[in-house]
Amino acid sequence: MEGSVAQGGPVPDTLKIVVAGGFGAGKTTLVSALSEVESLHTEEVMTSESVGVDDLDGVEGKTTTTVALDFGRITLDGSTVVYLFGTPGQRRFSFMWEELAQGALGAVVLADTRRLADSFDAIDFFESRGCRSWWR
Amino acid sequence: MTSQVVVSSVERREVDPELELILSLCVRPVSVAEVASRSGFALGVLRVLLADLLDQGLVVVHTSDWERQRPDARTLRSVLERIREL
Repeated sequence: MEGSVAQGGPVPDTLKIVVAGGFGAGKTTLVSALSEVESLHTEEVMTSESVGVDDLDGVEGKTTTTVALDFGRITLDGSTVVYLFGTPGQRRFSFMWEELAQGALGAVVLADTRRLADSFDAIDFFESRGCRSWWR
Repeated sequence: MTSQVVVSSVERREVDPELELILSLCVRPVSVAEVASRSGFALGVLRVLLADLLDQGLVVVHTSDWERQRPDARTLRSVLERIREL
């Protein structure tokens, strides 16, 4: 807000990278690994409520799932900060992707090769918004 | 969500404990998402509380220029370089 005086020194520019992918692909793990601060997230322990709703084939050891969003921070220099936002994996949270994608620099879609099809929702989402994809 | 909030330098008044907690988290510029996480408030709730603080002139909101326009090549390159260093 121009004209207002803020405390705490100059405000750095923020950039945003979205991390998407299927349920259990490792989005939370990636964000935690890259973030310079302890990655911040809201995780809810999966309960029997999710049995039959969330597909655990191949990731039976998974006991938690992200029901909000994860994020981490990478400071490039004093004036630029990159925020990594991990999207919730389940399709029923896809309404949150739109807001997360707003103004984002780009997106990383993680795919579990045992369950490739799980990543298609996320890939479709970004491709339908005109993103070019690179496969690694 | 990546808009940054910071406490404004106006004289502080007594506010509700929830708002006090939020103010204590925005001493330095910090993203809305980060305040939500550290305060434990749901993002939607936090936005309402922040709007109250904004109305009272107790916080200042900064939105990055990059939310409205694509970053320039120099910025993109520095992001790539830094990510490769990780």
